[in-house]
Amino acid sequence: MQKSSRRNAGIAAAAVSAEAPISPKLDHARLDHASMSDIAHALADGHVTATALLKAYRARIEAYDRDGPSSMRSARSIPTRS
Amino acid sequence: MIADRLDGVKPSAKRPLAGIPILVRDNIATGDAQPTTAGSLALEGARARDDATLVKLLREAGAVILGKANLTEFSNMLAVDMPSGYSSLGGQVKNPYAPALADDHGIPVVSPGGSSAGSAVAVAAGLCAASIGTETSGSLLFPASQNGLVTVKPTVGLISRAGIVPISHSQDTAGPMTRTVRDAALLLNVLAAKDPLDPATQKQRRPADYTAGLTRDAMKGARIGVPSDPADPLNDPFFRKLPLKGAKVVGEAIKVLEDLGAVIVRASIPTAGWMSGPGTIMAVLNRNPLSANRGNAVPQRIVFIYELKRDLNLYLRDWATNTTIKTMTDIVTFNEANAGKALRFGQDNFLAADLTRGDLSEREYKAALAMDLLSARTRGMDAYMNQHKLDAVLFPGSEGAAIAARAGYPSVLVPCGFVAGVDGKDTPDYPFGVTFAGRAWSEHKLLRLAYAYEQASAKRKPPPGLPAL
Repeated sequence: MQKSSRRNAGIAAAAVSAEAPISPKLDHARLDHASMSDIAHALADGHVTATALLKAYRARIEAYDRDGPSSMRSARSIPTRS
Repeated sequence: MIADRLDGVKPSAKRPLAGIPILVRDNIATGDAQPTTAGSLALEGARARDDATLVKLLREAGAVILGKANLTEFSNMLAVDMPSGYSSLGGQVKNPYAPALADDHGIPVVSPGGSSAGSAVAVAAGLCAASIGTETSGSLLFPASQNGLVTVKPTVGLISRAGIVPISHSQDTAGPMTRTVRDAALLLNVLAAKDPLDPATQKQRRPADYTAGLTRDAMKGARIGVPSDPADPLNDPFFRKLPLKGAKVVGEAIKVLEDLGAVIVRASIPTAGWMSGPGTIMAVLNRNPLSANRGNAVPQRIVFIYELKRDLNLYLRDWATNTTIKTMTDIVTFNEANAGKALRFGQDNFLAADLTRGDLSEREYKAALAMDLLSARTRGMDAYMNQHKLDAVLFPGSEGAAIAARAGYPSVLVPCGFVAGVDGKDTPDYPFGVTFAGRAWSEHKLLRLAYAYEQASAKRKPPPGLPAL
């Protein structure tokens, strides 16, 4: 916390931009890439709902994880109704 | 109905994970309708009396427990040479960077890493926002490295083990598996808490906020030990094992650290070669029909063999329900009766453990535990870090897992690039990471160092071939 310089301002801006929500772009295409904190921002801003998020992840588990020769067998998700 | 309960749910300061879908490894108890099985056919349909403490903390923070992640059965303590990510109940986890590539036995050529294989693969492939895995020695770090993830293997006692199907109370811990360092810090904020059900948590020290001070300049002036002596490459238990490309990406990572202002201290850890030394290992006969080494006696950790029986019996007594299995011996018996499905790779470690008294009264056990702590903690990490005044120790991939895990000390792993090829066979590119290890309760420092490296390097790329639906 020394003299406020251009460099510090740059670091601050970078930190803010790293924090900035990608929420307007958060769709199913980003679920393999978005960080959890970006997903939290998107939820907080109302760009995605928790219900939609759960549905999207379940769909990815069913599509890539459960059946077929290269299914990854990494997880089983909770039943749709529990 | 979960969908109804989720309507309008949003994260807040009080519930920072509200609405966020998280997978937990299938050896972590959930008190709901989901089974908790450790991947064992013997525990198919078994439930837990209650949520594990860490699951309670996740739910209090608002997280949605999306499901259970597959793992190497019983945390890779059942058989000798069981492939990483295989369980008799869940099948074989595949690495999402090369899911179709398998040998004649269906064993993946590019390992998903283990034993937290499913937890890692699910995060890498975008099947959840983050996951929780567990480690006894390398089981968070190895799969995180193989899947391009961040993980924290915390100090033993930072995260309660209550409600986790165990191997060893001396070394077991849970930890977050995430796509970024910040996410790992956010999860530690929720998970690090004292718990009367786990005495190891009573000594814990943690900051109010693990995300505080995550800045790009944290590496400046940091002293990073690189346990390698260029003047004596043969006496280099870590780097000499690396494939060519691995050595290259780790070399590039070290260059990034130097550019960020870190002081790199190249020096060997004098006790590194003691990690499987006399007094710490016992011979177990390898009867795994699919092991290249079958028929031979193989060295296994004394501490694990002894603690397994006592600790697993306590879990089964205190947590397991909806099952006829009451003891580790019941599991051995069930497996023998169902060998065709349950024992593809045998159960040599369980057989060895079943021969112990199960109360940790044997002198062999006590001597081995003392030797582990002496070689890994006192004369290992403590002596090495003190002598060179280090802030952290850097290891390629998960190569440093053994010493940090034996010491009970923390490690943070960050992706550092991609490698290719396994045992001379061509493979698609798959990820590789670097570990920052340190002293007890130094997770916050390690996260800050890892964050600075992550921001400067940005090496994670999601697996190709899993498009949006």
